[in-house]
Amino acid sequence: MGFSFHADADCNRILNFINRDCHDLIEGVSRRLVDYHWSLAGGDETRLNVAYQTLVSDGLIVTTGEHCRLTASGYRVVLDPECAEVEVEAPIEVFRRSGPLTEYALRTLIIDVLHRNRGRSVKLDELAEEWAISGLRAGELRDALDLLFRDQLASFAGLRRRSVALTSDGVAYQGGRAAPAELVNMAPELEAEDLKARSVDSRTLCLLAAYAAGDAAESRSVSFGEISYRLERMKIPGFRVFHAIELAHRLGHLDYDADTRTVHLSNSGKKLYRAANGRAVQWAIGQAVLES
Amino acid sequence: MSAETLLQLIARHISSVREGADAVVVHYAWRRAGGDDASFASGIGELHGSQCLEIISDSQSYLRLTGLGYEQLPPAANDEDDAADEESPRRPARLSPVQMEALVIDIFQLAARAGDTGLTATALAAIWKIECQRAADLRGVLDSMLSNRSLRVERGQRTVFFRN
Repeated sequence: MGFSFHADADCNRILNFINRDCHDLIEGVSRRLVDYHWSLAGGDETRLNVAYQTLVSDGLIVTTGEHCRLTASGYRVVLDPECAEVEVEAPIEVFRRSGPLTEYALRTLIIDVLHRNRGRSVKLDELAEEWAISGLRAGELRDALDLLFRDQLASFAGLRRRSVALTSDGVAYQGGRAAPAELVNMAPELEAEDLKARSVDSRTLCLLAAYAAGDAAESRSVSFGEISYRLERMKIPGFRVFHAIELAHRLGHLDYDADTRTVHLSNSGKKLYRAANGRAVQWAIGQAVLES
Repeated sequence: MSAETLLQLIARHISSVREGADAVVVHYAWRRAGGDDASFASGIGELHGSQCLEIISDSQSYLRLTGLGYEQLPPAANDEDDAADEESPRRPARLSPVQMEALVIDIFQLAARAGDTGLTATALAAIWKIECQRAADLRGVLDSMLSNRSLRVERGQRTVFFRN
């Protein structure tokens, strides 16, 4: 539910975002937060810029650097007591909790939030504002960041390390394939102590997944469950096993055939499998098994 | 501490533009900035009298600038950058659980002075932010006070906490 502030639907949507997201009338609201809300509502960037320009030319908002602020006329429009309550297109729900929170769900959500900032680094306080829209709690944002740092998918940026940016592994993860439901169902529950585990990079984990898949696939067809079983037999912790398999699928090293529910090595996966022998795989296992 | 300062505090602590600022949060921010209760009341009276401020009383009291009040606000400062961050004050120390509970009780007493019986989760979170404390700690202290029954909660359109 929102308010009817403006005849143009896009302008109205922005004024509703400003009404709801602005917590400081002097500084105004971060344009990045409005843009983020806009992207969740599925709006495209061109229409967003046109709507901003219309609001500026109507004298309802002014933009100052990274913020936009209501003008006195804009403020009066938003306060109009006659203003009707109307249905406005709500931003999509970023996260819907069903059952216990998993590392996979948390990772997917935080990467989506970071990605919607168009690959730029995001200040921690802005990230907290955007995170609040997901409906998850502030403590879970800390867990999400620990998760990304552990898996080397994001790192701190800026002089005071108060911003977060996706690493090249994080960008590759974001651009990869979504996990099939069968794999998502295997995602282990988030455990706080796992977040403190040793940091392992994507390539090492993919190497392990390719090794486990390829070794089994030589004699029979394999499933996600079997790859998982083989990795666990190497004493690799459960959270790491799932992430390795999901990552290898996401980055195109493992292909999943939904009809037969079998997993196959892609060409890049076969290359990894060939590389994963002898000392290389022993080293990779060592990295994945060691704790912090 | 002038009415102008109060106007700016209200502007800086709004829940939403239409809603305005929770009076308890503004009162707390006023005290934190060194103002006393008498000057807060007279400042509110002055702003209301000069038609710069509306007082919206429902189950909680909200302070909302009028169009005239909005026109009195100073222009926005330049956007901060990382260099400016270097000069930002150091984060205050994390409170102990006992200090946190005392802070929550103190906030309830402040609300009671204004005639509010309950406190919204939003107001508590805003004051917690003024104190630069972690949101997860507020959740912890509220959970603890709910379990020892010193607080009760009503969840509806807003989540409101009451002291038992």
